[in-house]
Amino acid sequence: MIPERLARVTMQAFLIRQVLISLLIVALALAAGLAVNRARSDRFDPFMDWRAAEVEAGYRRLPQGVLGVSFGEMVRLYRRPDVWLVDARPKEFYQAGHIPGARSVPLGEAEKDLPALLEKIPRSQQVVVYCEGSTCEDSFRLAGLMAARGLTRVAVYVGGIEEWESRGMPIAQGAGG
Amino acid sequence: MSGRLGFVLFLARMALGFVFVYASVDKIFNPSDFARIIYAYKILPASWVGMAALGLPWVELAIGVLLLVGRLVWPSALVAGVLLLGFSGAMGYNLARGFDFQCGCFSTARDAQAVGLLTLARDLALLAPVFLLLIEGLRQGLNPSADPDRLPRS
Repeated sequence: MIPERLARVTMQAFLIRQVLISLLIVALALAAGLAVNRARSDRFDPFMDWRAAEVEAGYRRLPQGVLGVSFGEMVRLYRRPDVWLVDARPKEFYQAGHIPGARSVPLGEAEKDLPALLEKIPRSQQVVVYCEGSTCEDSFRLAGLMAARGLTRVAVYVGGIEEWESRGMPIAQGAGG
Repeated sequence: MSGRLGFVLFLARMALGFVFVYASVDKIFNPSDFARIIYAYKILPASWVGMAALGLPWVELAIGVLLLVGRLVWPSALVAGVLLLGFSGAMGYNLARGFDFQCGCFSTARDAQAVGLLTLARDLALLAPVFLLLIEGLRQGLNPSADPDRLPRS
């Protein structure tokens, strides 16, 4: 039987040693990852700005007949009263924070809501749809549905609410329109 | 150590090791796809995503191999536990805020499974062998007659 004090010291030393080894394993694995990456012909940039990369990738997967809108263009369109802004996210996301003036048309309810909305929108009306950011699919799908049903000027704000908020633009809360 | 406990520990070690090695392979070959999945979790800052995508699979591979070969089992199980808790926390947080997101657990393919409660439960279940290995390691750490490699050198 080990005396209590000795047991405590033994335990502390054991834990310190094992935690240090854990950190060493992680550090060596990271170093191996970096070294192998350097040797690869299709080298991957570990310091890449993924927000910008994902926004760029978003432009490449726009549905047919739908244009992509950058942040600068979005600010310009936001100031135009004739542009319809559509938030494609679920209602609770919209209520938590949306671009002021945007209408909520959650993709999940588009089958129900879209026909009524399309009756109100002239075919050549400029519509901009957005969702959370460049990795969400809702704005792309909703814009695709709108374009397929005959709207001729449908666009997706690819950066979404995430980019909008990160650039210090105004956010509205509550049920809205 | 009784034979039965030894066998259970062996199974825990092999199962955990296999899961981590298997989880690492696809991500090592496709770091860009894995980075896209990590970014979509919206938890890490965008500038950390690349490094995480590059490093995490190698950490998984390292601890998986160490567990399979039975070397440095306790620290490997510790890292496995920290990773599993981190993954479960990230999944739970995103499920709670209603995100629809890809797991990135075993595959980086775009059509790979989306995260649900079952995925979260699977990650939490993997903590059982981790705790088993950690507790047994602690017990041995206090036992002077145990494997000297596990004991502190004074």
